[in-house]
Amino acid sequence: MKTIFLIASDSIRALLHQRLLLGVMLAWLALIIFCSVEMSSERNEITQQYNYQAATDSTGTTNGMSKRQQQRLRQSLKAESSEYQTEIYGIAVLGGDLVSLFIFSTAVSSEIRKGTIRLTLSKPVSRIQFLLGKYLGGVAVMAGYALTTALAIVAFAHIQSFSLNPAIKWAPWLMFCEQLMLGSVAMLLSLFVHPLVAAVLSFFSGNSFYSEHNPLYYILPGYRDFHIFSQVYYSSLINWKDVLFLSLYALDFVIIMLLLALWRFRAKELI
Amino acid sequence: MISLDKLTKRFGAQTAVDALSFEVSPGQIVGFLGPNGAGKSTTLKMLTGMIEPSGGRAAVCGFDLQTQPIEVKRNVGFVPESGAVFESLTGLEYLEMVGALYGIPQNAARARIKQFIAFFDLSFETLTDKLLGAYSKGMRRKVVITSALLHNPPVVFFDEPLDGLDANAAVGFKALIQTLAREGKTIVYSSHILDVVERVCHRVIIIDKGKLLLDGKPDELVAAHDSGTLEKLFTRLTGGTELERRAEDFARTFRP
Repeated sequence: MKTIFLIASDSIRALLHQRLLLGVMLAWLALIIFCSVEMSSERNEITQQYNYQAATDSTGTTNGMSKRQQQRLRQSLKAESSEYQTEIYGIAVLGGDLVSLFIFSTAVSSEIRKGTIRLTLSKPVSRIQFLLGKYLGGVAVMAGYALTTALAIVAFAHIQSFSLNPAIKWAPWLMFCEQLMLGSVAMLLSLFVHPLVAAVLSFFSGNSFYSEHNPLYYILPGYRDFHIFSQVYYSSLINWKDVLFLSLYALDFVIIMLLLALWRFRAKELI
Repeated sequence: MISLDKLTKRFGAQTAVDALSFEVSPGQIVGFLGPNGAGKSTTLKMLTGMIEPSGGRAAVCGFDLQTQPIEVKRNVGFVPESGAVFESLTGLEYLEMVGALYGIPQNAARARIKQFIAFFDLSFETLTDKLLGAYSKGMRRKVVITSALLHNPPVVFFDEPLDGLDANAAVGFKALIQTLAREGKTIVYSSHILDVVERVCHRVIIIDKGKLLLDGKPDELVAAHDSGTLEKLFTRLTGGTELERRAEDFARTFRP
């Protein structure tokens, strides 16, 4: 176990040196600033619109908006915040998918191509420990990404003074689960094909590209179930049992992918 | 210390190592020679547990290669031929990870690392501040050699260890392995630089196409085959006898 953690911490250190997480955090900061500016601008427009309507409305009170107008204003602002939450969440999912594909498709294959795997496997490290360590390192980085996403969303809501939709509290966790599934597919495929090809194939490995009449729909992973865009947008509640089921599904899927990857990696000749 | 019994490796239809058998005692420096594609690197990779043999058996320090690969790895150090390093780690991070993999306490590992970098004339600041990707070829080599010897293994495999080392470092390295052998370590030294092998090694093993050709002391082999030098003996055994004439013929093609 200690060996697996050593390999994992090594991977994390290498990724940190590559400034990957720093780049992601800076991108998030830029995105929050951009969205804050845009959202503030839109909110001002909406508020001004309602104020103008109130001022020109012949049936309204002479001072400010009617209660009905205030209610409609609140609904408009809430819809706007839902839209921004959904957009930021969507960007986080896409960005995280790309980060996950990059990390996991190159974790093992790049060491094989560069030859550094010989340095590692000549040490008291088995191939199983090596593969699991690499995967665990990627898990830690994706956990950091999910945490950064969660903090970014909370910070954004705080800056803009709106309440987060109830579903969004599950979004970072479900996003994390989905990206680990995606990463496990990428790691497996990278043991067969070039990492770039593995990443592209993994990106399109979800069953959402097939109809329910196609057998592949039931074999390929259901990433779409982890994307709760509509629940975020419409402020729906998500049952914790659904989250638990999806988490267990993700765990089972990852275990199967890793077992296949181990089988392939053990058979691979490192010449 | 090292024992091979009909060790074999096949890649599909190709036999890279063909029933290789020999034994190496503690304190020996063995030159492991052969032309390109002879099976030297494949043999070393099997003996260091990186790839599994197709047949035969081998043991290192009494541990069976196939049933106890981790124990074998704990007792060997390996300097591979390729100059690949972990470019996204600093030298110190890499060496401390190696120390941790061998179970060396961090303080002890740090002290040994400092001894090695002093021997190789590297600065500690270079080790801590620069990523391995920014090191020169020779500096990378020194770090990899350090990683192979850090845990004080009884058996060390070197595959072209002098590649990239400057003349002073090469002299120091040769003195180092001779001292290590006198202390009882077993050194297997694979190299194409035959005059170094002839001077440094107690014994040479020459293989070609995966098979053992010769095994013995360099001076005895040279005398027995009346070849003058190890280099001439090597070229005679591995089909390189026409090289001088072919070089002359080829050079003539460049004449106007």
